[in-house]
Amino acid sequence: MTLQVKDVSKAIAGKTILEAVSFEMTAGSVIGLVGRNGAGKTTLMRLIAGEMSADNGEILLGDKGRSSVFYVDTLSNWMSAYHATTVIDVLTMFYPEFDQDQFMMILSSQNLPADKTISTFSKGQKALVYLAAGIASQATYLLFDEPLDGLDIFVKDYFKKMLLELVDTGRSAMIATHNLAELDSLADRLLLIKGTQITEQVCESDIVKIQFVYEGDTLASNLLDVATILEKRGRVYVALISESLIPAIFTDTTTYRFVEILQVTTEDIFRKVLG
Amino acid sequence: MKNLMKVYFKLRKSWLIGLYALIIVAGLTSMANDSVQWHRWEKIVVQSTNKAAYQKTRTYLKTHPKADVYAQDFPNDYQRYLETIRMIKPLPINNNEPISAKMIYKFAPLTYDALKTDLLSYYSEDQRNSWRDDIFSTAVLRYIPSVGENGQYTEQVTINKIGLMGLNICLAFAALYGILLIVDQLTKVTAFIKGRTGEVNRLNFVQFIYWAGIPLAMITVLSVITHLTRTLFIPSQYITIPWKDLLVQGGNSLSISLGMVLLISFVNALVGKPIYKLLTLFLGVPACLLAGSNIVSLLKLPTLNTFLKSIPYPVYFLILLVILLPIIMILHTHYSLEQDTFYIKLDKLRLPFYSGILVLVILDFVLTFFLPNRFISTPLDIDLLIGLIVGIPIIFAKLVLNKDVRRLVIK
Repeated sequence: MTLQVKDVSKAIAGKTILEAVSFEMTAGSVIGLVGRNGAGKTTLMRLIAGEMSADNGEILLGDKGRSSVFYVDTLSNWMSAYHATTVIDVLTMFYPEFDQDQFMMILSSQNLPADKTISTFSKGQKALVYLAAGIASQATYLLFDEPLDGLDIFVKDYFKKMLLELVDTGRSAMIATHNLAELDSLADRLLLIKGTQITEQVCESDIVKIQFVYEGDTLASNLLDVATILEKRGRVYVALISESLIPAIFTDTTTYRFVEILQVTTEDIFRKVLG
Repeated sequence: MKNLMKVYFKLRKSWLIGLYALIIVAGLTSMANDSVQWHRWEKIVVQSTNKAAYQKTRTYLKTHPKADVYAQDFPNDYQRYLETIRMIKPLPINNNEPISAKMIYKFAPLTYDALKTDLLSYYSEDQRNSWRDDIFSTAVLRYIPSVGENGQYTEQVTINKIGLMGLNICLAFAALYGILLIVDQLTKVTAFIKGRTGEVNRLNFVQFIYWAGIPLAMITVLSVITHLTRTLFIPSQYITIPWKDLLVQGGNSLSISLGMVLLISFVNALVGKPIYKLLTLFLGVPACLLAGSNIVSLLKLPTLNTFLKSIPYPVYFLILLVILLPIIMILHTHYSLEQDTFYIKLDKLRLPFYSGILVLVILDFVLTFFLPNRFISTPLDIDLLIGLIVGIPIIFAKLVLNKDVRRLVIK
């Protein structure tokens, strides 16, 4: 099962947000969607969810049609004004396989009352309700826009646990977030929106992050040509570089000192590609 | 469609039940009120009139055919009957001929019993004909001048008209429908349904059914029940239901209500941001009416005016329906969530809409300078008109086209 986004373009108020964007969302994976503020992450999700219409291109949802996608705008949505019970009633109409017991079970496990208006819940509690609704909907593709924003560590952990559990059952999730560190433990794939294009960030296995102290005034051109400098604090540099080039460049231990290899994070990729 | 009906009801259940309950309560209250008012009126008629006095009045009118009925010295006791006669049966007024006692004598019922029946008849002539003249009112006034210890006073009651509802109620329903469309948009119900069903035409139809169709149907049914059950509260000799008039007036009420609902649906489909929807509706309707009035005045075609007034309201509604419904459906087919942040949803329609505003500015304000029957007397009037002629195009250029006219001028 695959959700296909084919050559989708979208312009808003004359400004092109996405242009001929194509990618696939395969079942059983978590996709991290990253991009700078206003890059078009929410627009892409709304296009997939059908709330927005694409100017060009098509989005193929698979056999289950619209009920294969679940999306809730976390900032503003219709659910806020209702109790969880009404949410069940409404979602059951659109998601024929909606599992009411599962929904109520998730809510009760987090001590969330079903007879209280969702707008009175805290931010984290609301996020849990949306997650519960998405999981119970049995939709194959769940789209979450900034789901972990402002949540405490316990809610985050529960959210991640539930998400990974549903991925194990062959379903997929797309997470748009600015909290890139969270994606390290969640995302199988990373989609980056740069300009009007989406590129999939393939994990280059030989790229490593290094931290070193440089004794000279300016970095040597042989390093600058092959490395991406992520950070500079005094004489301490953090850079991304191909692991195979390290022996050749860092042989001069008087100029380069305390060379240390660190783990590459989503944040590093974000800086490398969009910085 | 069935699913959508269920979903929408779930989402707006308490509001809808509240509205429907309100309509039923209002209908039943109105029924009871009609009965109470009529019995009050009956009491006034019985207390304030009598056979002997009426016959004396008739005799006076017969023996004083040229008496000035408006004169101060016209006997008060007789004046009372003149008022009542003229109230229930409008006199065939001829402007060339003053109203004389002879004229009223000819027009007055022959016997007191006939007068009483006319006065107490629930569906009197004044009820049936006053709809078009005073469409804002839902009731007719019944009164008899009386003389008491503190001098002359008027005993009066108001009785509901035979029509379904006055223009104020039609407007209230249309406004409610419009507000609920905006509420659905603001609470993202529209976006959610678009995401789930792929379009919003069906949603709009469901909104229409719940907020306009069912309430209007309920009002119609309650109205018919009210008329059919009148004889339970009022003696049957005073009840002769004028079904034809009911049909005409009911048709008029429904046409106005549905016409306004259609217009609101059109503005809702055309305009994105809620505040601009309100702006367009509140300025657009008067602007179009004023433009029409100015054109008629300028062309000096009283026959056109008479012709337009002679067209029944249902015909206007059908014309609106044929024109607007396809446009609404096309606009809904192209709906996309981001359009809710624009003035005019579709880019292609922005310039035509702005051109329409310019045309209305010309017809409403520029034309005023050339109208023969318009009197622009003070510099303030002229300043105001010029301000509107310049200001409206500038403001709407910014709102609709996102063009700052001041910058264009500077350039």
